[in-house]
Amino acid sequence: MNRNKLFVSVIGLLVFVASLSAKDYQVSMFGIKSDGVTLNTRSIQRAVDYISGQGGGRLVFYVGRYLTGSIELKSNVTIRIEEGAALVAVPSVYDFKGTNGCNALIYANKQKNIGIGGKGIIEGRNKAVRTSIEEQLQKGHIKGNVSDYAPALICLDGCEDVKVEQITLQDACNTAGIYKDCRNVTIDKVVVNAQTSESNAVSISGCDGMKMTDCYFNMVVEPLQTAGTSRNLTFTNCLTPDGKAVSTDK
Amino acid sequence: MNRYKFFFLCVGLLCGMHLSAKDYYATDFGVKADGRTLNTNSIQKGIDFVNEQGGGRLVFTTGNYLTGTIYLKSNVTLHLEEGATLLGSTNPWDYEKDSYIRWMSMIFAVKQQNIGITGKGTINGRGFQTANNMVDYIQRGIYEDPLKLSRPNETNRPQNIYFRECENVTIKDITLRDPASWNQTYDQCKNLYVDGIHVDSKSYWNNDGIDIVDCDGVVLKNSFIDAADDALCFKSHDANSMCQNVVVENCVGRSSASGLKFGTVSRGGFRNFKVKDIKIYDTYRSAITFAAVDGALIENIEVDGVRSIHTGNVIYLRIGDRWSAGKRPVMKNITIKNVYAEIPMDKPDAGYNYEGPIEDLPRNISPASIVGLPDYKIQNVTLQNIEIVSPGGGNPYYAYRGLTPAELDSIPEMVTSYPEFSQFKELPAWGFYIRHAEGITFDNVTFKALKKDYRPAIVTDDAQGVTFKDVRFIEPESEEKQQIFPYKSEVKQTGLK
Repeated sequence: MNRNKLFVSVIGLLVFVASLSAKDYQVSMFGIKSDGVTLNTRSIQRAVDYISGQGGGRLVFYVGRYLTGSIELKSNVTIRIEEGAALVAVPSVYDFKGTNGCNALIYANKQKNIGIGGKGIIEGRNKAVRTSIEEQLQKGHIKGNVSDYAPALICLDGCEDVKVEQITLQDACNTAGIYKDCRNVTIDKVVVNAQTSESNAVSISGCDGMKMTDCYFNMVVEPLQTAGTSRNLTFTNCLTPDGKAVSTDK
Repeated sequence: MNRYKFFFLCVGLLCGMHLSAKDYYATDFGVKADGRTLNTNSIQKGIDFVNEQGGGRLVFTTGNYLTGTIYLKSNVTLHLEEGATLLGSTNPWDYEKDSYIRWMSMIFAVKQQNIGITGKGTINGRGFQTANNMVDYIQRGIYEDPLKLSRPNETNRPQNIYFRECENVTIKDITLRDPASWNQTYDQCKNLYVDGIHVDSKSYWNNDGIDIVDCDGVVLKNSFIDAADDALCFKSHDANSMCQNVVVENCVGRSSASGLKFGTVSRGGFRNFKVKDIKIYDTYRSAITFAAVDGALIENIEVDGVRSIHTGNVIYLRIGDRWSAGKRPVMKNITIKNVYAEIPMDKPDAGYNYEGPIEDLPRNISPASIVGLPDYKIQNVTLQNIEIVSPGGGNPYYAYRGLTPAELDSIPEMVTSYPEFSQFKELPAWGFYIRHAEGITFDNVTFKALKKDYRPAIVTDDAQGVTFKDVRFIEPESEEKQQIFPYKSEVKQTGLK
């Protein structure tokens, strides 16, 4: 009798643990193409929505170039870009959107337990995207300044339990990562490459609890921008090319 | 001096052109004609911008424009120049399932006015690939669909065009190809003008040619429609709406279902139609079929001028009671005249993609039919100046329906069935079968069978006020045969030959 009880509770525990571990979904399941030509925006969005609806998991990109416009990340979903894989911005202003005026390739609003990881690259294609914005401004089809439209790579607004790990954020049109009013953010081993003056590495405002470790910021401008009141920010071993440590105090 | 005059004339003409609808070029919105850039959002921006500027044409010059779902807005015409193709994405995720219409489409318009799609360019849905991609997603469990008959539901496959509750719609000169579902639907629109379109719609199941649903004020003319499912199709989805005040003129249809069809969804009705000069060929089912199976009112319909060549059946009028929900079906005041029809012995749509399914066997060649229900008779149908050439050759050892009361009564009513000319399997006539009808007039009608048939040409059952005037029968080795067989009917004959 006791043995049966034990058996049942072990099984129950196993099931519980299994449900906690994230399920992996390959992008090919959703018809997402790695050819660098097919625009995958809606397929990726579909995948994110589906995985979130199933209770969560990781959407895994293997080697290849995945062209996309803006994707909205949803609770319990991690976008995992494996080594050799690149999420590549489409050079068309009308394919970007965001949350509360914060345009980004990947954005989220009030989502919990989300992540972006893997040894792959997120590529902003600054010049090409900028050209599209400038052209449409010039023709009068859109109004304002380039900066009103230039998408960040990541913009998270009001999110909780966020992990951004290992990824390389490259050639952003705007700030690589924007974090507004987020709680409990971990940024680990992220590399930011940006050889233009338009791009910061990270912009943080109104956040509570952020740990940034072992990051490398290959920039021509100041990597970090903090605005508003953020609390409990720690930076450990985050360096610029000249070996300077990044911190909130300038 | 003359040169100056010419110059000013040109300037004047250019100004005049500018005063008419203003042209905007799609490429100016970053839309790419390379056939591989997905332009959905750029094209949408172009439409929105032209709409905000007060209207005009969004012009697509030669090239292939890949797109998913776009929404057309008031006062905007998509103009596809010759050589320009709107190429549907083959990825089902690139299409919206509109929450109001509850269908997928490449081009939607909802509650917009003064809109159009014009020009000698093409809309190519590439539906075969899109539909099969959808099947894959359903099989993988990432899209929910019952996969009935192993195909996604029609509403989960994109049409090329779906316009709903729009006013003043012009569709002119374009070619529409290869949708994944129905091809083009105009639903509850007012003032729809379709002229000179070319339709090649047989890339997947349910590829209708054109669906005009509950529209008021329609002109459909000078068009060619080749479709796997019904070609020129009028429907009524809404019990409180109708398809009415419709002119169809000078159209050619080919179908692996029916040519000119009312229904099958037939809730509200069809009223005041004038159909003139249509040709139907290589069509599997009926050249003309009107179905009131969901409570429709069908009245004041005139069909004048039909050439029906190599078509499985000529005329099929049917009242049923399928989804009527208590609404009384009515079919009355119908004139069909100046018809020449040839019915083949072989399968009329053999060799076309998505051939019609062979069913309701065994059955000899089916006659044209007018079949109501005991409580809902089809009333006042005039058939005038008609010649129908049938293969005849009905063989009683293959399929047999005799003329005894028991045999005629054994023909099922099939009240709730899907209406098709073949649904009763073997019928007892080779030319025309009439049941549950009143006031049917044949005037100057020739029935010709190429081979002797075991059946009479015409059987009427529960038909009152049937008049045969100048009706001729031509059938080999059948000089003495009684070609009209009335049963429980009141029939008047004059000038029979």
